[in-house]
Amino acid sequence: MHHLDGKVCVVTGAGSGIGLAIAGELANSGASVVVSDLVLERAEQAAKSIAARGGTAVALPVDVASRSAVDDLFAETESALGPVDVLVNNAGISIDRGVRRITDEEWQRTLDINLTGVFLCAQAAARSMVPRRQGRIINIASRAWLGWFGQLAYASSKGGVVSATRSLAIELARYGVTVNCLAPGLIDTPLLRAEPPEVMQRLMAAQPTGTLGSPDDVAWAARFFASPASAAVTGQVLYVCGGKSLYARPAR
Amino acid sequence: MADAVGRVVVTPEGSVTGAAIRARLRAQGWAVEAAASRDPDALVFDPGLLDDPPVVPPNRVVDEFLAESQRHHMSRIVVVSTRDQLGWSTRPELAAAGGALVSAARSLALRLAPKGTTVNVVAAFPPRSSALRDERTSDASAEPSELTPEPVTAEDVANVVAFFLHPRSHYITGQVLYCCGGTSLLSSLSV
Repeated sequence: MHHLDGKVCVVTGAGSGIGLAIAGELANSGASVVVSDLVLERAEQAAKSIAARGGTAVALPVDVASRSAVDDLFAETESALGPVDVLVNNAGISIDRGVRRITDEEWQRTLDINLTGVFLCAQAAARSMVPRRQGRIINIASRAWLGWFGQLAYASSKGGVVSATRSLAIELARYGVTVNCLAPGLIDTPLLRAEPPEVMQRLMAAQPTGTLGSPDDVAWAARFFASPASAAVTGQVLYVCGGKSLYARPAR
Repeated sequence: MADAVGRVVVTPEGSVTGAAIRARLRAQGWAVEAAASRDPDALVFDPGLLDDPPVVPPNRVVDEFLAESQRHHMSRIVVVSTRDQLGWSTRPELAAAGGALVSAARSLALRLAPKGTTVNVVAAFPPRSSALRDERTSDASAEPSELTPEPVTAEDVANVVAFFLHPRSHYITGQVLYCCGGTSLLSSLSV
C-alpha cells in the first residue's frame, strides 16, 4: 500500500535516525529521494545504503538554517531528479537545558534550525508545488511540544513547527498541497540510548505501551502522509508515541 | 512489503462509509467478517455519525462502543467519528456523541496499551454522498467546508482506517486523526 512511484522526495536531516528511516521508507515505496544532511558524508553513506537496496537516492548537503543553502538544495534537487513532490522537514537539534541555564546562543540556534529551517524549506517547496497543484509537506515535530522538563527551547521550537504546519495547511490546501506533522515520542535512536539508565527507566515508566518506538514506526506514518491515500488529511498532528500524548507523568 | 492480513469486524452495518471501508480492507487482504464473528483480530466501530440519521442513536453510541470493544482481546480498534465533535450549530447531540466517543477511545487506549491493543479515532467530515452535506448547503454560511480542492470521500475515510489497522501502526494509539479536508483547523480543540 501507499506506493510513491515516480515521486521526488526531499528529506532533511536524513543522514541518521528518524530521517534516515524515512528516506529509506520513501525509497522502498518507489520514490526518488534526496538524502540531505548537514554532514555530506553522512548523506552519502545513507544514499549508498538506499541504492544498495535498489532504491534511487541522491546525497546533497544542507544547513537548513541558511537561506542560500536551502535554495541550492532545491535547485540541485530539480536538476538531478525533477521538481519536489514530497518534502520531509526532519532536520533538528535538541539542547536539554533548563530555563535558568540556557544561553541566548543555544535558544537562537534551536529556533534557527528547528523552526526557521522548516520555514525556508517549506517556502522553497511551496513555490515549486503550487504551480503544479500537488505536493506533500511533512514536518517532524515532537511530542515534547506539549512541554517537558529541560526542553524549553526544543519544545518551543516544535510548538512553532505545529503552528507552521497548520498555517501552511490552511494556505496551501486549495492548491492540492497537504501539510501534516508527525510528533514522535520515545523513539529508539542513538541519542536516546545515550541517556543514563535511571533516566531511561523513568521515561519507560511513563510509556502507556511500556515500549520504545523505532524510527521505522515514524517512517511508516510519514509514508502515509506522503501518499495519495491521505489527500483529505491536512494540518494534522499525528503522535507516534505509544500513547504518551494521552497522559504522561512528568519524569525528569 | 506484504500487506496486512487478519480478521476484522466492521460494525454496525449501514453507514455511509461502511462499504468503502470494507472494500478497502478486503483489498488489503483483511477477512471482513460479520458482527457475530468470534475472536476477530480487529474492530472498526462505525456508528454512522456521518449519516442522517446516525445509524446508532447518539445517546447509545458510547455504550455500544464499549460493549463491542471489550468483548475480547483485539490488536487494533478504530472508531469512525465525526469532525463535528468540535461543535456544530444545529446538532449538539451528534457533536456530543462524537466528543464522548473520543474520550472513551482515549481512555480505552490507555487501558489496553500494555496489552498491545491500539485504539484510534478517525474524525471525518461528512463525505460526498452523506445526507448531512445536503443539509449544510442550505445554511452554507454557518458551516465549514473543505479547504482542499476535492470533497472528502468515503474512500478517504477508509484509507485512514486502513492505516490505523496496519500492523506497522503499533506505536500509534489514542490518537484522533481528522480526515476533513482541513475543516478542523480553525477549532482550538483540534490540537
